Amino acid sequence: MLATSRPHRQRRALTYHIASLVALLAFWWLLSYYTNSAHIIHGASALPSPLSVLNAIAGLSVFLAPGTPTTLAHGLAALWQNTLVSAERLLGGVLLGAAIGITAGLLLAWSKLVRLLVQGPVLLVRTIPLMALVPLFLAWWGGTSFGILAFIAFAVFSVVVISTVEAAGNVPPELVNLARTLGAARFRIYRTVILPAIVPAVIGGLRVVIGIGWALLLAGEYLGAQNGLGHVLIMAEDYLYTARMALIVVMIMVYTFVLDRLFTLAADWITRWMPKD
Amino acid sequence: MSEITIEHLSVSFTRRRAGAFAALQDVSAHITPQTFVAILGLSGSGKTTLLNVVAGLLQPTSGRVLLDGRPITGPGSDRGVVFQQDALFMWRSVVKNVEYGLEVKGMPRAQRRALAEHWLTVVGLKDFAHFFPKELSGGMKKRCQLAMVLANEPTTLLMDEPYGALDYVTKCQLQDELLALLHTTPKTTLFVTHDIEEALYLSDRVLILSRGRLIADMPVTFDSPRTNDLRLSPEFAIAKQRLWRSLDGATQQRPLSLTGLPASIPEQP
Amino acid sequence: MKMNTSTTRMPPKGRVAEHNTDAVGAPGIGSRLAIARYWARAETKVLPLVGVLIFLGLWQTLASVLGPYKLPALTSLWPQVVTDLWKNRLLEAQGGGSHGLAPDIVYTIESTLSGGALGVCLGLFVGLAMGRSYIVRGWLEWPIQLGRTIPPLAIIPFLVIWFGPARSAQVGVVLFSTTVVVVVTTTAAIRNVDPIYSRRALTLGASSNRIFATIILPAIVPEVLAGIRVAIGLAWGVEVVSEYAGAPAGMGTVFEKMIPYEALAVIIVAIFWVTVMAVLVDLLIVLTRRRLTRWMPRASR
Ligand SMILES: Nc1ncnc2c1ncn2[C@@H]1O[C@H](COP(=O)(O)OP(=O)(O)OP(=O)(O)O)[C@@H](O)[C@H]1O
Ligand SMILES: [Mg+2]
Repeated sequence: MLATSRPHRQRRALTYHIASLVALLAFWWLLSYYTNSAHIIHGASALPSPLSVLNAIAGLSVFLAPGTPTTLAHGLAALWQNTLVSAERLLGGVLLGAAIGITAGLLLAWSKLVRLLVQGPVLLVRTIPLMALVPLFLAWWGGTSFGILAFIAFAVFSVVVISTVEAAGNVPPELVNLARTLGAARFRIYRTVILPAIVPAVIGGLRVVIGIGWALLLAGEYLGAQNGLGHVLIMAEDYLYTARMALIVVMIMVYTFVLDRLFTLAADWITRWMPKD
Repeated sequence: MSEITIEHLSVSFTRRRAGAFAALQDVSAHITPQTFVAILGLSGSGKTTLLNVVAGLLQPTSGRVLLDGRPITGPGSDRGVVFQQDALFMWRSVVKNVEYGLEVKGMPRAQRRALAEHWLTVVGLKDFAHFFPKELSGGMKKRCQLAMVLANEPTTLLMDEPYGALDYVTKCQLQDELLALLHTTPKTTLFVTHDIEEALYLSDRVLILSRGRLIADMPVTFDSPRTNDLRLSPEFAIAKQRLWRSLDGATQQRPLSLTGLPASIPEQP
Repeated sequence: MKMNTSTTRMPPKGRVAEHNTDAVGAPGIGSRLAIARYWARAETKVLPLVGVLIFLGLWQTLASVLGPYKLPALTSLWPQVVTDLWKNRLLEAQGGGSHGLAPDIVYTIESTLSGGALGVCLGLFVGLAMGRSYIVRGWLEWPIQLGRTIPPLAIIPFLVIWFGPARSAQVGVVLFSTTVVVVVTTTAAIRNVDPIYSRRALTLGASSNRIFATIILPAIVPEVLAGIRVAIGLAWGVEVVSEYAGAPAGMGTVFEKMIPYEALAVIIVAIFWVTVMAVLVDLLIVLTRRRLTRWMPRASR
């Protein structure tokens, strides 16, 4: 364990990493080859091969408009369109929820009376498993885009408001005192001390919700939406279009990865003043 | 001119089960303008509490503190505080930290940047203006805090064990810098410390607190400017020993006797 | 708190800590202080309760404005919480069986807990293996990172096609989601163990196996249990939504049948029971954690 040098082990780890990906892809391909010959369910393969996933792009053309010719360009357009719809719900919900959550959290941190009054109901609502709340939002907004956006916004809000209040309570008192001795009034202290000091905690809370963001979105889109990636996915299940299902899953994976990277980059830049560890 | 008058000051805290706890009891002192007063005492003796009352961060339970004859009602930019902890706005660069007080005053951007850079030069942090506090060493953080406070041009300086966590040599350097600085821009200074040598070296007067009470008040009459040679002189050693003894006596359970302590610490021959 | 009066009665010498300022002296001032102090202690318990009452009051008022299809009144909801467990006519008419919500609740609990338990075991096994051997870690790290990018709900359609709308589909989804969370937190916990402990043991001559068993394992317990708590908390939601996508029974199927009829009362009662179950299981995990981490300083548990 101690014998091998560090760079050597890192090189070896990279070899394993790449080998694992190659093995995974090969395994998928072989398994799909086997299931294609042995396990056909209603004319569809139970596990589509990587190639058929790529071919499924063209098939999405039907989502553009009824009667659209099935071409790769139309398929990509349809994919893009549904991506935009989903992204709008996801990002809109996250932004809306975060904005309301931070504002409400700061207001709560301002007044102890209000904080104590709201504490009970917030905890009560927070104990409900978030995804179990979809039906309520669907019943209120009937599966409209706004209903799903509102659901995501609510989920984000419920996480962010709690981390904001907690963080505001944890701001080191000496920082507040420092601002006071430099002559700052209460509102300025809120703007220039409390607000920046809670940023890392709020980002931490946001990271948690963004991690389950796609799950929330899919929950909303499964249960009632007329478009969006979740809708395409659940429709594909009904018709047993497994290649199309796999395509959507792969796309979601790509989006999740990209979103996560962007978020991490932005978060690292915003909190660049923080001591690391 | 900032003359501080402390009259029968008492502060007590409510502790969860034990009821009231007196952190300061009947402390009185008169501090003339532009004197450097060191407040010496063991841990928990009420030094920070006293400083906080003067800073306006804490309400006295009874008695009062006057600044130029007017009671202190709250914190203000006329009294600059260097805290015991490293209080810096971590999310602002060094120069932006120094600008903070000027921002509060509503000074235009260009002007406050120039002023902040001036004070950073004074404390020797010019080259670190755009660093974040996390990139500074402990001594540099203290310098930054000092620049932040000085930029506000307070008439009173309140410092709470500012050099407590530093190595000996750095501490001595910062002490010399502080003296030089106060020589050019004199201010009334309350300097809390538990370091006997530091108290003697810097101050014109030493107040000793013990368990919330003021047990000694002595002038320090070494010549200024003071240099590091003073630290090694026999007079300094004698004065140090006397302060030590009075602090040591404060830890004993028996009532403290002040007999044997000199009324003042002798001047350097 | 500002106390202008108490020091006047303070004894001259330094000992005041045990002295009860309320018991002697001017009774008026003393009792006012006592009330203030009592309130300071009580408000943190009383006000949240008042808050809940206001919340329920608001609900009731809003309900009378919006009507039962948007927000059922608490008064009409309350009896249903229990009676719906055994019988609900609308549900029966929609093919939800003649026994009300009870069978669905049982289905949801069984699937969530079996999927969750399997996922925790698998996740711990994989996570510990990855922490123990860098070869396992090398092979599994990227696949796990890939797995993290798949929302568990996205694989439901596959499981439903492979296994049919049966319990195995739900258990599979919960298993997947729980495993990923537990693996990620376990490996992170192992990474977070301060190397000073291992070095201390190494200098005492411990083998790497012994270090893993006696230092790494106990050190990661709190963090891993926190991860399990998150994973199980998530599992309830995953289970319910996966039931919606195809299941023989369960709370998700109740939602599926009730949403078209805007039968909000039944939906809220169902959410209520899912929440009760989630809270009970969570409590169990918290108690376990408290038992297993008695050695830790209270603040960091
Ligand atoms: N907010 C508070 N609530 C209750 N007790 C307090 C509070 N602040 C200070 N005390 C108590 O008052 C006493 C004096 O505290 P203070 O902070 O003034 O000590 P100090 O002389 O500055 O000590 P140190 O050298 O350790 O900083 C201590 O016994 C402390 O426990
Ligand atoms: Mg102190």
